[in-house]
Amino acid sequence: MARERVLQPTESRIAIPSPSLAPTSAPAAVLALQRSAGNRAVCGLVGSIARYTQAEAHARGEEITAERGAGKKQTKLHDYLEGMSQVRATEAETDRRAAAKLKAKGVAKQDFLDDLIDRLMAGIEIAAEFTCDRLADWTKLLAHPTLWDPKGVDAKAVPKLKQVRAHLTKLTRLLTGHDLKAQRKTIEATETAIDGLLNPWETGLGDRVDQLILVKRYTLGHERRKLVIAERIADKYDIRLDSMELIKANKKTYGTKSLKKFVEMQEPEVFSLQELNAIETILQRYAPVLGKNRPKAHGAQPLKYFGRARYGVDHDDKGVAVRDPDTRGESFAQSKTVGMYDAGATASQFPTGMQQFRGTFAHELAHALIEDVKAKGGEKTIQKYAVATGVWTSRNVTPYQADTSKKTWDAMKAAGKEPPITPYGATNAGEDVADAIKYLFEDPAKLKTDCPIRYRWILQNLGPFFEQTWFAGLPAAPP
Amino acid sequence: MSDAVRELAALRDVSLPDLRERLGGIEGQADARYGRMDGLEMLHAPGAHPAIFFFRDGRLAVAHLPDPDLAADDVEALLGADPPRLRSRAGKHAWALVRAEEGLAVTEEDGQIRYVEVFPPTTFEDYRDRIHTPPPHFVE
Repeated sequence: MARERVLQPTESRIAIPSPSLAPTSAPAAVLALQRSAGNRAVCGLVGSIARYTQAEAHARGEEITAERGAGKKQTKLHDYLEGMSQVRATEAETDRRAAAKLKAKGVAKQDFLDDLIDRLMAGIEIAAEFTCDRLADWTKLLAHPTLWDPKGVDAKAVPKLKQVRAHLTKLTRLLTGHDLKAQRKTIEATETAIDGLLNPWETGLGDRVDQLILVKRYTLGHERRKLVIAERIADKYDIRLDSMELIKANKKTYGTKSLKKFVEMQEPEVFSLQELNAIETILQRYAPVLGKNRPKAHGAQPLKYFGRARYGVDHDDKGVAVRDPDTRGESFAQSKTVGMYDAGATASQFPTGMQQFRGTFAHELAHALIEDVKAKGGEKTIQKYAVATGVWTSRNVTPYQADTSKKTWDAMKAAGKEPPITPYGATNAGEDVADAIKYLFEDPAKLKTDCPIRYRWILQNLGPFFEQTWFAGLPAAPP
Repeated sequence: MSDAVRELAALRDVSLPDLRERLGGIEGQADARYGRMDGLEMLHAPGAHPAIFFFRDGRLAVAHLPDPDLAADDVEALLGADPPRLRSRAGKHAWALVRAEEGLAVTEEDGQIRYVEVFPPTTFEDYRDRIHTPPPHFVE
């Protein structure tokens, strides 16, 4: 069998971009148009598609530059060429999938709109198939039905294909820990392994050539974006993302079962990219009391790790640790760890899961960063807040105490007092202030309307805890 | 026993008029609740004494001392080894360590002492059913 020319390492699968160069993936509709409308009109259309492809490659090149972060330095040209390679691989895979859809319909051709829809759907499928935001996505990728199948692969390429998969397996294991250098190194090793596989063995890999480039674009590109955020959080705030530390914190707090049992109960997870963006937003607001900014008077930073697991843990009636699917988030003071769980990313108090996530995270940080800080005179912030609300005598005492938090909240209201923003806040003043902060972050208008006393007190007293541009932009306190 | 807890325990038999006078003649808040007790009179004068006092029928029902100057290591000296414990509404990780027969309970959370309660000696069951407040299902 005749082999295609082998590309040299310095070469790429891309063509030098030119507005006159039509991409290989010009839809069938363009060719039909060419027949009906003549070459001149079609050349214009093809030219604009080529320019679009070129612009997409530029955009992808910019993304790659941003994704590299503090990692291996490359030139902008390299990133552009890599971007072009990835965009073309995406187009080729899109073509194949769109053609398969057409074939499945049993028709030879279809109108432009249907073709466009098939291609859009194929693009969405590709991104979903190769982007790994959660551990389950990684498991699915590592069990990909065609990508890792050695059938039809040149014998010399098979070990290299296995090596790529081994790197990805290793990366998956690293993601629940906080060794960011190892994560970056493994991402780079995976990319190098893919590049090494593509060039000399290109013809022996079939469709996997494009699929492996899609791993670079979607899988590793996405992970690089997450890594850059994790590195920023470590650098700016001295906090590591480590889900296994969260499991250890749970074990330390809840009991004597083995770490393995806790892993089974809790199912350690990784933060999604959207969640990492939310975490960074919240941390920016708490920036004056974190990392190098933290005032000495606040003492050592009580936060070291953020972790993500699917479920929290609680004690059952006999004191045995069991899975608790209701826990949204948790602050572990002794382990200096804050954990977030699936329930905290599910819309319950706010319209969207992401608002709930941000609110819950802000709540947990309020426990860790605000409550026990001593104000001038040695009194804790929580004590000052408690007294200011008019319903608490101290953090854990209210004359309106009842059997449940809801009944306590009702009793506060019935007495004509301003109750906490949520019935859960009537558990103790710590939950009260943490829920008030949750609404300050996610729905300040509601906090201002429903709890003007609390809103005013927070604006007048908690300013030093928060980033000033954001804090000053909050709605003014009621008179 | 720490000075603050000793001083508080010494007030266990104080009468309402006496305590009111010691606290500077303050008026109490009527119809207050603590645990599952209601109809209490609450006295709190932080300038005079850091504890919050609850009286029923002129006798001390419970005194609550928030943030006592007490290290976690002092608790064993105060309560002995392995005191009976109850989960607390002070937090998901908080436990009330109870020596009801000595009229003493200490609530700690993550190694931090949240409060001390002093009350007339009673049984563990009575403390649990009358003075203690059951915690909610903590979700955050």
